[in-house]
Amino acid sequence: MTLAATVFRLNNPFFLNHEMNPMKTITNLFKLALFIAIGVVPFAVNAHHSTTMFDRTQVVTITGVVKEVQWTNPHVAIFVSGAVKEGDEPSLWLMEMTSPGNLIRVGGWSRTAVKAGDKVVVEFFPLRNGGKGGALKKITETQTGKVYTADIFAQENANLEQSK
Amino acid sequence: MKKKTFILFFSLLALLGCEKSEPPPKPPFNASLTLPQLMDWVLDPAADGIWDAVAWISTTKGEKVIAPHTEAQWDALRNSAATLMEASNLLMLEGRAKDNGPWMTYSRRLSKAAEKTLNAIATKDTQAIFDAGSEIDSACEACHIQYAKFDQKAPQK
Repeated sequence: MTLAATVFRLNNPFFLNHEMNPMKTITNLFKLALFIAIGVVPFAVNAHHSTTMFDRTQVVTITGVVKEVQWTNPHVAIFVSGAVKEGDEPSLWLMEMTSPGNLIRVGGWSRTAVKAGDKVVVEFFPLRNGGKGGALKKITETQTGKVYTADIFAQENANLEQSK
Repeated sequence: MKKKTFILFFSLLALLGCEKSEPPPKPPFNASLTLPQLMDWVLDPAADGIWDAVAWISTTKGEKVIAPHTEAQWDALRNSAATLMEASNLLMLEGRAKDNGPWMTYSRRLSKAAEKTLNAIATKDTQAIFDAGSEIDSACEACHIQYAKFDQKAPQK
């Protein structure tokens, strides 16, 4: 099981109830503690929350490979192994987006638009606390050149218009 | 002439009587929970029950589908959807509703999305449950953007 999957599963009662045995859970909890200790998961992956944790005055770009896509409500998340500067040791970065519905409606996404293993360039609004993650702004698949936007601020504001 | 005076007299009397009548008693609702408490303790856990129930996780090893399997899981999911649908009514109670305009629109939108979830649960349509989950999030976010104004509370440089 990947670390990212461990985080999701520990957040998810359906997984906890049906797919985890006690020994695996202990192992996964240990992995999760390690994962949090190194600052990779500074915010809950599938929790409903505001966007104030992201600094929208800055945009960071990393180049890397998609490790995991969590097509979940209320926020889609992508884990990317990559580095800001070419030649740097790659790290695992957590990119958060708006809901799947917003991504499909406004960003032209589908569940399989971005897949694990895809080589990508990612632009994002970084976390204010300096953790390895942020709100995804744009993702470009380097092999196909396909671009998907995921501006959580703009796409969630679009809901206001939809409600009128 | 006498008839007109008679009618006018009794009309005025009736109006005076209206002024003196007591306002109808307020419904005996207990709305003592604050809005954040209602959100944290009732609405958000119910929404989480829906959002956590269906998901797709893609890794290099393939795609994993998360969905309810047992009747107990389906029951828990149904209970979450029913709670959220009814809880959206609590947002519209007098004393809690912020206004009679957009607040009510967003609350009704939340209620409808929760009802859509309930209908999808009845047919065990996981894609429809997932889609309705996104509609729940949209209703929440639209209301939060207008009323919670989280971005204005963000730390300023």
